[in-house]
Amino acid sequence: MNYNWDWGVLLQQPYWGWLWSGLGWTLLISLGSWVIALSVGISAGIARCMPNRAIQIVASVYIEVFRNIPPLVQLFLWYFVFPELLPDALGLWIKRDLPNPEYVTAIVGLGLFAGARVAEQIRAGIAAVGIHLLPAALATGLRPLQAFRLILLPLGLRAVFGPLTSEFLITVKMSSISLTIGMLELTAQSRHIENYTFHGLEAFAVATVVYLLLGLSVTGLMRVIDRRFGAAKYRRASS
Amino acid sequence: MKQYLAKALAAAGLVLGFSAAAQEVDSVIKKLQASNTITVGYRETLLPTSYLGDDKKPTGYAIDMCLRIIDEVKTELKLPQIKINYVPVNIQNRQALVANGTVDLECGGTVNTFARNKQVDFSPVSYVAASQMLVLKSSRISKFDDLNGKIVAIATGGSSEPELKHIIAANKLNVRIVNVDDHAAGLIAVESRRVDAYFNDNAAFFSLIKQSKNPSALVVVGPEYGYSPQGFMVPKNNPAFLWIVTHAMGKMFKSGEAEKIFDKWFKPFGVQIGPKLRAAWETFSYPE
Repeated sequence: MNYNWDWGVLLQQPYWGWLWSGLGWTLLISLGSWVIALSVGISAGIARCMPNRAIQIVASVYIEVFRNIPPLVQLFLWYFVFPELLPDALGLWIKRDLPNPEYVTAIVGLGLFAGARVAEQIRAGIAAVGIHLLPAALATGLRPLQAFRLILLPLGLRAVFGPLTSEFLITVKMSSISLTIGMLELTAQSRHIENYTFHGLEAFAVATVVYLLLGLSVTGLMRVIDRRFGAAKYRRASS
Repeated sequence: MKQYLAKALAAAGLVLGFSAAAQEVDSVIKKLQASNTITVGYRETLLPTSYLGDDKKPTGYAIDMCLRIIDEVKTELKLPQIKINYVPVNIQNRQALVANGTVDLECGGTVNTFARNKQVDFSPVSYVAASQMLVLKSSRISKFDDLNGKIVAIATGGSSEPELKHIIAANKLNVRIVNVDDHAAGLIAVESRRVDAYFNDNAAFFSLIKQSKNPSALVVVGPEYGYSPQGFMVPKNNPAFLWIVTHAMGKMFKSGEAEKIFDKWFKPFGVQIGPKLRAAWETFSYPE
């Protein structure tokens, strides 16, 4: 292949700055959408196991709808369609006056998609430790929410720590699709550099390594948390 | 089929470094005399410059100009039977196809740059593109000063980005920039009032307005920023052929025929000949 490699171009300004700002946005989008995914996912996961039929149905509808539509389509729906369905003034506010509308749309869109997947993991976790603990907990005088918060959720979360790590990793990588709605995150900045310098391979190589490092750090972090609080601790203690 | 052949030839040309056809002097004229066929490159969707019309035949402003040029070729070379073989080209392959001699005359909207001049030659200026703003008529934006406190979309990675930043700095404007991924997203952003203006190369605006659900609500405004002169590409080392092209266009500029063709294609979009294009045409209006 006749390609003129020039890694030095990435160290020049403004390209070096673009890569850093891209990394910053990738981190902000990943963390923001993960916070939404965890809070929505845990709530929906618990709701799915609740003894109340109406709550179960609402949670199931959310999970099935958001899990089965491609995330890119969801992002487009949130960005292009959702504001148009609202009353004019509110839609315009979301499009224009909301602080950083692209970022908010990105983390809501990605967060709700990941949330549906997290909810299923949570439900699996609760099922794994035994939903039959619920009557026992209720018999001790706990109210249903307390039973979930104090008994089923802590045990269930520990059981699904591994799959949750994978979900977090997917969220980090999926932050790149937010470039389609104008977020200049790491992948977008790499393309940006390619457009200006025609040295796209170098920029994408750096982005690849950065994604890999991000993924490994997430895995490492989750492993530390797992060792401190997770099922591993119990496995060690019981053996 | 033709398209695949053209692509394969383009790839081969890239590998060989554009050498074979470009070295022989006046290869185009020799080919014309031997085969009686001229190969014209056209763009499929560049409205109104060069595109496939409703009858799926190449048409547009550049095609009309090229037909006049080919008429001139017929008289100069005394080859009245020349047939035209149309080959579709795109932004990625157009230069390679001209450089390797597959295309004799590229009738699209390619900006004449010194970098491109290393590999191909250009006809006189056919059109001058510049950066302008696509806005809703109701926004009442007409000049850069009106952008203060507004939201402006730009296509990520295009040349309009540094230009807009320069305009913002020069006029001390307070503007929020929204990045859009392609022209279609820019149009949606303007129409949905997510942004107040889409700042871009104005040559891209015409097909966008045509695509719009409500074309009459849109308008292209603002002073023309920057200078991107477009021309038709011909293979290098063809002085006699390039002379015919230059001569034919010079005659059109002088006689007012060029203006008629321009008005035919651009008037419906509300575009008139700008001062920069007029100046370029006058520059090429050499005396006989």
